[in-house]
Amino acid sequence: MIDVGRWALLIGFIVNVYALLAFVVGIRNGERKSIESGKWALMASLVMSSIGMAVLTYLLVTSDFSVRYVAAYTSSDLPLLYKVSALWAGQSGSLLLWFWTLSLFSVVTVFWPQRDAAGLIPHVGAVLAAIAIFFGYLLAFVTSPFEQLALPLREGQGLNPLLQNPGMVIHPTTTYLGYVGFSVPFAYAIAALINRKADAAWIRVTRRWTLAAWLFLSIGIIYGAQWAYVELGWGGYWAWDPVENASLMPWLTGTAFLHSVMIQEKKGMLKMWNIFLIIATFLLTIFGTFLTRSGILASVHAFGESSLGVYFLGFIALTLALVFWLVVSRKEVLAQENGFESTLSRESSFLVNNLLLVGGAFAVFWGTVFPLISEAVRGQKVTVGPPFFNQVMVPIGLATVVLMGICPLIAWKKSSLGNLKRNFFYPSVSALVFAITGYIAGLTSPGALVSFTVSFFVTATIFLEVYRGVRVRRRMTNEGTLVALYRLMARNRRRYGGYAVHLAVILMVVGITGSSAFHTEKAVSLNPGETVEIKDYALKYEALEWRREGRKEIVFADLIVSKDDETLGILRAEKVYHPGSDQPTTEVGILGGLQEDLYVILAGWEKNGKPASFKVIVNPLVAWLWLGEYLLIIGTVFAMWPERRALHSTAWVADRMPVTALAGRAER
Amino acid sequence: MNRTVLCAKTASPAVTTVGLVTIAVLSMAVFLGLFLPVAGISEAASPNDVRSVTSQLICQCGCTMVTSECQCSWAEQARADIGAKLDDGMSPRDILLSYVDLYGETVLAAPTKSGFNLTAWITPFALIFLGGILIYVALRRWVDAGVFGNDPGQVIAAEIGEDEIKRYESRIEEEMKRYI
Repeated sequence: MIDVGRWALLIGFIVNVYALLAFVVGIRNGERKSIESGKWALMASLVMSSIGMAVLTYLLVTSDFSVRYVAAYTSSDLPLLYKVSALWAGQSGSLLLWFWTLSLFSVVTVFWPQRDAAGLIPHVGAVLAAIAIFFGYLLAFVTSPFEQLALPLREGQGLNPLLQNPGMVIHPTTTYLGYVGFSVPFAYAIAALINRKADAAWIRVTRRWTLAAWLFLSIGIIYGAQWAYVELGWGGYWAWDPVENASLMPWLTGTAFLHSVMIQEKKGMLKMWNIFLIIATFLLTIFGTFLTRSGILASVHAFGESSLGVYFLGFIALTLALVFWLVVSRKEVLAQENGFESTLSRESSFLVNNLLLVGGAFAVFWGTVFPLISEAVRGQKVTVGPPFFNQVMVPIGLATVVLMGICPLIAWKKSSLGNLKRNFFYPSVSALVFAITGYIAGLTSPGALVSFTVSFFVTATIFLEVYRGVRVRRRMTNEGTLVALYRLMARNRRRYGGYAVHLAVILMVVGITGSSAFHTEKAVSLNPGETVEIKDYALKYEALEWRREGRKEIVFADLIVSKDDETLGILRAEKVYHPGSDQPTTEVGILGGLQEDLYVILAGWEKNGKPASFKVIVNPLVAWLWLGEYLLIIGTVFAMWPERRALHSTAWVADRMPVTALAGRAER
Repeated sequence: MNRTVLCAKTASPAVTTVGLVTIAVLSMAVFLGLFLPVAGISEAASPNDVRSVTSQLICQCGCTMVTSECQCSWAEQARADIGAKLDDGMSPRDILLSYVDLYGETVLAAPTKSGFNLTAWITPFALIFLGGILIYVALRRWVDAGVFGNDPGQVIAAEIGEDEIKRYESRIEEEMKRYI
């Protein structure tokens, strides 16, 4: 069985080499048969990688400890769910997951191409095959998940207790779907460059791929934060760890790309910039993988030091060189078709949006690699941690949020100051009133006041846009408000899905601000029967107890929670001792709600829990982060959903409003 | 019958105002980012605030978290030690320097704002600022070289024929069908 897996990966590498050659020959000689052969070779790659995944899954589930990977990441008593998810717990297994996902996306892309870009498929297939060759090579020759131990072990080392959480099923898989998903628009961009067809066709064709990749990466990032919040037991959700940063960077450039492609679609502009963005996004996904596997930066997420870093650096360098050559040799096709008519327009505001998003990505990149730069320049390593990133990214983030409110209200092509005054008067005045009211009510923290005011401003502009749209539609169709709202959104899913996503981001900003600026905590030692008070809560420590669950030993403390003299329930905080692990994991007690989370950590104890030490935290508004996540998913899916065709006939339109009258209105 | 559509180039004072406002906003972002708090090792917001001191130190247990968040024994001892030092009247700055003496510069959770380390803080904002100026300059060039000629403020009349009007009308009808 092990040999089957090993051979499957070797053949998977070989068929991708064949696929690349077949596509290249087919393109050069105009041979349709070669191109078809290349496509089926990609299918063969999918079959081989699927066999590899199936074999590794079988070995993990059957606890075959003769395989190094199985012994390193599982144990015989590990629950089935975690035996399966251990497939991506380690270096080579996660590379196999990447290879398989890439093979799957490659097959979908070449066998079900969109009509507009069918001519690009051979080149797209070649690029995807080239990427798969890299990963296939690593799996076949450098880091095989089927490496066998000289002597099989009787028992495995088990899965890191921190990974034994349902989040292990969702977070890595969605993050990888996001990373690998960006390979497809990247391949189309390269194909468009090679073919000297840098018009908006490749963007239209890849729009849903890009959105889907962005959505999965968003889910991966936010769900990872949620998992950290409930599992790591420090009361936070984002630590600016290098591997966390590595996922944020392509997310930021991918967001910039999603916005700026609208300009190329509408006006044929920013072609070179869009090519740059998608290449940067793709390379940042590879860079993130490099960071996780090279060991050059300390991270709790890293797989540890290995020689893979050199391979990834080489791949990035080679890709950069090829792309640079392509762009320079084809720069004439990247010339703009149109100009800007005004410096004050939605197009120009998108440029500022891109500047901030790409600037933010650079800031994260710069902070992540600065320890290496410092060591190289002055021989002294430094740490770049949360204080740096919070201080740098908060103003950039806030400025980006402000733009979220401004951009949609600026007209395409040209806006005047008069337009701006009309569009922004109500949101600006209401935001000012909000700020003054908030300050008087006690919201005196400058950062929080600015953040909440900006969030309010953006929310007001979004609702104003929706209100105006509904009002115009009601005037034209005499529909009821709800019907008009539904049809307004259904007829323009991209726009209103985008607004929903913006609103989701606002929810997350509010959650981040609340939980950061108004976080309250207390570290206490309590004897049984004693009470700690924090904000409006009183927590009475009952007792410290012990129980066994399988091979785990659990020490737990129950605290009776009351608020305003009303008993709310019992919170349980635990320390879990896993066999083979020196350090226990922390299971926190959380009493969550829309307004705040009450979060209890069992920090330590003396004999018999007399006393026991606790860290008690009140995290305001943190639930808004997770709400924002769900709204982001809904908004993105809505934006991706195919739009309905028009339901009404010309006669219906003509009955309700003469076209000449509409033409007259349009002229104005 | 031909109709005349009047087009006017954006007035120059509005452009200049927008450019100045853009630069002012970006400058404010740089200011806020760099100078709050002050250069060098930051002073704690409150002299007796253990958390604000420990949040500037990286835990030495290998977790890569700040000391205020980690629950390991090193972090606990550090918090107790720092609390005691603050109670003894030691300033947050001196406490941080004492940890640097013990553990090296890597114990600080962020680079200092001096010497070469200042480039860590300045570079992102400098690049955004430069990018803003580049965008503004490029926009001005694109607008000046665009559809409406080189004379700002000049009103240019464009003639459109009946065929073009019919094309616009049918496009409006199509978009009405599509979006309404």
